[in-house]
Amino acid sequence: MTTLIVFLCIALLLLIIVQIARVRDLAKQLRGKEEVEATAVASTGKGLLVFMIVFLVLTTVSAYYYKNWILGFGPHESASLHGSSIDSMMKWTLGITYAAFLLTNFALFYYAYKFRTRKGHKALYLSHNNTVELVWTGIPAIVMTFLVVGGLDAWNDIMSDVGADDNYMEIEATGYQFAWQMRYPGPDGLLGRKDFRLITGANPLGQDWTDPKNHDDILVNDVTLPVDQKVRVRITAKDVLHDFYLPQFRVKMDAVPGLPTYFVFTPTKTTREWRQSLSEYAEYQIPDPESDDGKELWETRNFELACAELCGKGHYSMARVVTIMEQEDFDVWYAGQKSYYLSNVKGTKDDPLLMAQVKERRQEFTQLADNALATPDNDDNIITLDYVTFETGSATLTDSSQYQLNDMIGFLQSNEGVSAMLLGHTDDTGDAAANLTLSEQRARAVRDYLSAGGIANNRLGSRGYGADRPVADNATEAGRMRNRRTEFYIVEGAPSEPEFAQEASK
Amino acid sequence: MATAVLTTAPVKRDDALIEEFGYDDHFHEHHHGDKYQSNFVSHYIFSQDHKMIAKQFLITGMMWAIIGGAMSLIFRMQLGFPEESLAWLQPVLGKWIAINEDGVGTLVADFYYALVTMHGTILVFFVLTAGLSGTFSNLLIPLMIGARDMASPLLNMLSYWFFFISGTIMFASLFLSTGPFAGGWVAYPPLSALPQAMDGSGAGMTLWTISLVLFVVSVLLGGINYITTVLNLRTKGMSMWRLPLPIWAFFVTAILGLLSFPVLTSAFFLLMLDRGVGTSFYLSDIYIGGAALDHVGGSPILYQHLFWFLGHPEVYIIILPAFGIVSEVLSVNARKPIFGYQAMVFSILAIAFLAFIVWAHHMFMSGINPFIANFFVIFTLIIAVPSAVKVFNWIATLYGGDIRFNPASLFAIGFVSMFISGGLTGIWLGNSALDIQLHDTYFVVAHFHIVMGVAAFFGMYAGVYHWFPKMYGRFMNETLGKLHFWGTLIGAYCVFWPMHYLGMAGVPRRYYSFDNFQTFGHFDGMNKFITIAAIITFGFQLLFVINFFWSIWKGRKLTVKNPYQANTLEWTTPIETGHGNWPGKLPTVQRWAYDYSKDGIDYIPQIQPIMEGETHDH
Repeated sequence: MTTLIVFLCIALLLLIIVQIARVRDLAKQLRGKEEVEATAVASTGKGLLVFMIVFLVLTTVSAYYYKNWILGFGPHESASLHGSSIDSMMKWTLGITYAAFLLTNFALFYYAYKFRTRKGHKALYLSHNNTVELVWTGIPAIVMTFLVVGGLDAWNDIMSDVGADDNYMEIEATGYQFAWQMRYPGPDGLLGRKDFRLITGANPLGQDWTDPKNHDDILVNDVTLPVDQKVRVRITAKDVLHDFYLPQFRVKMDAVPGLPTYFVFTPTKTTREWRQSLSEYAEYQIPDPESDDGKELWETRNFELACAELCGKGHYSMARVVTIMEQEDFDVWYAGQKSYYLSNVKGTKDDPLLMAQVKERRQEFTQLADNALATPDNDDNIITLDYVTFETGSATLTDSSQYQLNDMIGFLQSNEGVSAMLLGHTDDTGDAAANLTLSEQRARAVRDYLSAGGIANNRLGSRGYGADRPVADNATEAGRMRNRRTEFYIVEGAPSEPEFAQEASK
Repeated sequence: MATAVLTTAPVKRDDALIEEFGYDDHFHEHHHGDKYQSNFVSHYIFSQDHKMIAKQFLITGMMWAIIGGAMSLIFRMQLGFPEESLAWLQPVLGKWIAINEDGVGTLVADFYYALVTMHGTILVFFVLTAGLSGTFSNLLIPLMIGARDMASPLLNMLSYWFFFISGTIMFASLFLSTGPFAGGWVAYPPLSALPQAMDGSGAGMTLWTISLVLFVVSVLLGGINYITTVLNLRTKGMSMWRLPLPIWAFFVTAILGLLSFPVLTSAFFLLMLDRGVGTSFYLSDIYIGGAALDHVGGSPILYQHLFWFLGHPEVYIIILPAFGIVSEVLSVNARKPIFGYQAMVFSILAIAFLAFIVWAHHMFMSGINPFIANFFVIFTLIIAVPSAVKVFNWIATLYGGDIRFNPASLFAIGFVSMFISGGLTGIWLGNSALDIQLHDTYFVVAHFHIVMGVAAFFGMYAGVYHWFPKMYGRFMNETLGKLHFWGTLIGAYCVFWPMHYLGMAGVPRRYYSFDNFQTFGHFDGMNKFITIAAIITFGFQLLFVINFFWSIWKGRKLTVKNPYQANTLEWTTPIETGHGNWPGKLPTVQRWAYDYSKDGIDYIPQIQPIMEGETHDH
């Protein structure tokens, strides 16, 4: 309803304007064309003059009014080393273009006013003037030369990559829909190899874990950097184009899938110093509406990382905080970061190194088991399960045991006529009865795993021997470790215990 | 041939001059009964008459301008007043307005980006390319060079209808359930290549590409025609150096389009192959939607090179016709020759040439080799020189004039102001060092809107107000026109000037909301101001639309052939200009188009032979 009324009002308003305009044009015919036109010309001429003055004054005043928000001025002087050359280039350009803006707009509107048509006034016949034209071709050409030289000088300096003997740290920023992922090298100072085909939920950047350089790399969300340290940011993208944009540092570079880019810069202000400089300006001495404890704007401002290349519907939300610290604070922060590989990947199924080992162990196990079947002699039918381990003092299987356990399941499945007896052993520390129970439970746990893996119960048996059957000297730690073990005894037909006639098996 | 005698006014009436000096091409002996315009369909719809096709381009362009402008108001409302409810738009926009539990309706981000993209595409291609160049090239080329029609009226008609079909397809894409294309008018891959990257990159992008390929066909058909017509159908005496400046501008514009649009088509074809066939021209190393894609070895930057090889000339395709129109309108209304005619022509040629070797200045931050940027900076800033020459020449044309203020001349003056304001910021952006900071911020939005958006519109308005009597035999209402001018001049500066400050403060463009950033969140007041200014300015454009259609039927009638006392040939045609433009012989041209106030004579039409005692100047 309101919408309808608004539309009706607008329609009515337009109608009124149209009618007034019609009346004015009709009045012109009645009142004598020349007289009306003379007044119209005078008022339009004055209008242009007034517009020019108001326009030039307002643009100047508003620029002055906003200057403390504008990058390059007051509190927003560049926070990076190279940024100051951009700031000074910008001020030169501003000065030159502003002068041109004032002069040409003044001339345009002033001449329009001054040379308005009047009775008895005649136009000059002025078709060209080579001298004048040469001058106003030459002046812009000279000014442009100055700007080109200044600009390119700054540009080539800023964009040059790090040299071979520069002292710099390299970090990596990866844009994806819709956030940034930062990667820091570990103590080796080098970022490891990555490949988009390796990306999974557990490996967000597709790091190649077989590259040892990756093992100490650190993944964080926000950007933290030491002040006065040259940084080379390697910029990559996972899905579409993004743009690594640090407004306060005058850093901007597209992140392109398949084509790593870079930007080299040196922060020159810590976040703390920057806030201090903001505190001097009235614009930042107002309470921060976002802050709960009544802080002022300058106290809560952070340097920020944004995306500056349209990347989809969440483009506007790729915010990260950038913190610049003193070197010693940075060192503390850096020391507190954990390698992504060590804390999230190592020893899990996502660790290709473990997987390679598992593969080797499987071959080894299969070899032993096949040998056992191939020989009629029963002596080598006991296989020690080196990679089946338990939590200390309990019968809970460790995660990493699953690989060898699965190998056993695989073996039993492909050899239908074979049964398995699981034999548990402990070392001789502690109470003998408790050891016996633990060894039984442990053998049982393995048996249960196999059973749960689909092996018929009548093909499985288990037995614990406590510390009765050591294979090494219980006096040394290495020996005790070897004695704590589970064995896999293979027999044709129903499960049975091995005959320990002669002596302990190998 | 007799030499006329120098007096204070043209000696003979136009008809007599044409009769005496004109050239008889026996046109009307071959065109009995005017088969071109014999019934409604052949007159108004499938017309092959350049004047009717010009009107078709103009009115279609106006429709698109209203649609594209209204879109900008919707996304401006979301930007300026994110807390206000847009629920009242739901009847039109449906599911694109999300209503929360408090009943507050918000434009959803997907559609925000779709609107931004459509606004750009529509305004750049449909309004400022087809609507501007299409209208005035068609209307003025034959009339101003003394031709009966275009070299190929059939191709000319096809040019419009390809444009029409292209527009229809684009319009249809607005109604897709996944929305129209939303990845920005530049359509950079991989965003535009992968449906899983964004809803609009699915069917919306397919229709977008098809529409624009058809649009290119339209531009090429038109362009070939304009070039051929200018080269071959000039009347006797109309040497290239006697062409009125609009014709030079349209001619060079057509050449630019002919050389650059096909490259855009190639870019689109490769993009289509990447999208549909699985090639990897632009794609490599992509993990999206939980899967690594098979595409390897392509480069998204290749697309950007191809796109901007058109994209940069495109801005001159938009602005050159406005240059020409403004030069003509200023000269006629200042009662003075355009200052430095040859310099104006050479600067158009220089700008057109340079337009082809500056494209990568859109790509300084895209990952191209920084060394390459050096060349593009140099060539880009060189463009400032011919542009400055043009501005100085326009101002010098006003100097010492006897300037009539009518909507056309006011818009021409406004154009120069806009071109100055927007052109000067080009010197900032063309400098790669400054582009590090300004690239993809609101500074860019301010720059291109003022210099090729508003300025081109001003050129278009100047042209429409000036040549409306030639199109419809009536005048547009002058009071409304002046109101329209003031509203637009002040309004447009209010909308786009503050954006410079946003950009200089680092605020990126194409942001749906600024709430996620401290750095960009300080400008709520300014965003509100811009939005309100945009709504008001748009309202003033509706005045133009009303004035336009009202004047077609009700405007003050034209009673003389040459209401502005202008020199060019179009004003020697009858008020009701029929097919073939001149009822009898074709006029021949005796002089250049700008003999205003020469030897104390207010104006000397191009058909007037050199008179005895006339100063030899040009």
